[in-house]
Amino acid sequence: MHNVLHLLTNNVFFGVMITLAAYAAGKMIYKKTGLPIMNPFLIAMLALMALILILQIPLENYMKGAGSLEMMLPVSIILLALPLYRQRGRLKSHRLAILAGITAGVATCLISTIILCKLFGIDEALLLSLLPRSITTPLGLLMVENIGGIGGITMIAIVFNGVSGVLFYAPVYALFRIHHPVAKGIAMGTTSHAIGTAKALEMGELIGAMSGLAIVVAGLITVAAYPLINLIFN
Amino acid sequence: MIKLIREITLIALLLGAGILIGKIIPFPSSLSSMILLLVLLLTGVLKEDYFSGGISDLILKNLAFFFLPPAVKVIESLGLLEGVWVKLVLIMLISNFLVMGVTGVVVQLFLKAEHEEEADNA
Repeated sequence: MHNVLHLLTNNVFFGVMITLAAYAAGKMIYKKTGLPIMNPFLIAMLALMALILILQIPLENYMKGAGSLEMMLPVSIILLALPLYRQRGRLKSHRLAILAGITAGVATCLISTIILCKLFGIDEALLLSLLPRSITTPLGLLMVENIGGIGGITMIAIVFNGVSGVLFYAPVYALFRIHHPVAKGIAMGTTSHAIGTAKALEMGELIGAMSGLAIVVAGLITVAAYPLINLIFN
Repeated sequence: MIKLIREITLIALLLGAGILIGKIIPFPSSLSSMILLLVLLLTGVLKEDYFSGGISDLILKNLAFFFLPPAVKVIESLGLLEGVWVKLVLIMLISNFLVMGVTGVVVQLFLKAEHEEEADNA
């Protein structure tokens, strides 16, 4: 049995095929139910994790194919320039509000994480690993190395941020009375980077463009804040 | 077909340019490429039409898909969370809730101020 499983999974096609199948299933379930909690990304992620854990498929076998999909990640980031370009008029006229919002968001993320970690008695290496979590994966991993956190924890935290924004944006928008599309998009991108942007693009091109912009600007501001963090902790 | 080949070639060139930039300054190559593409579009060197209705829009519509492999890969690190995961989840939930709320509220406050200024000037 295990030999058959190994034969089936130990190739380039396996990872690509099950990722495609899981994503397609996720989209279908989302379309059928229309429930925000039935997010295609979340369903596909949990289904793939469950499959790998239950059938005890070695992660390296999955990554043989999935790794080639991962190579497409930079392409998807590059293409975020398109909605930005298409919304350049709004971007220009609201630049001050956008910059102020993202700066406030990044500051809130860093400060609230530090305070909460101290309150809960979390040790410093873990705290540092949680700091670069609201930015996109390549930037977050680059940062965590520079400040001496744990890459694996940062990776989990980044995924957690993406998923939590997608799941909880509706009550947060309602509670804080966020109704302007520019504010919605910037709030989503500053919290949930690319995974949130995928959801934001679904809500509308302006919201999506703003969310995509927030990935870049929040990333830059977080990078700029790092000497300060190093000064405090190291 | 020629349009599709041009589109893919341009994306590949942008990727390469980003990697080259990354060798000079320590900045993620994909973000460099994205900023480069935006500048080239704004200056009119590249036309938006080159990327419309092709593979680019298909990828943008399914952005989350390419984030599945790195997300699934975190299962190998889940062991690191043993004993602390409840606390970490709580911390991140509270913090994210504040980040999203504060960001949105600040954007709206500034938008409102801009709007009132415009009304005053009118």
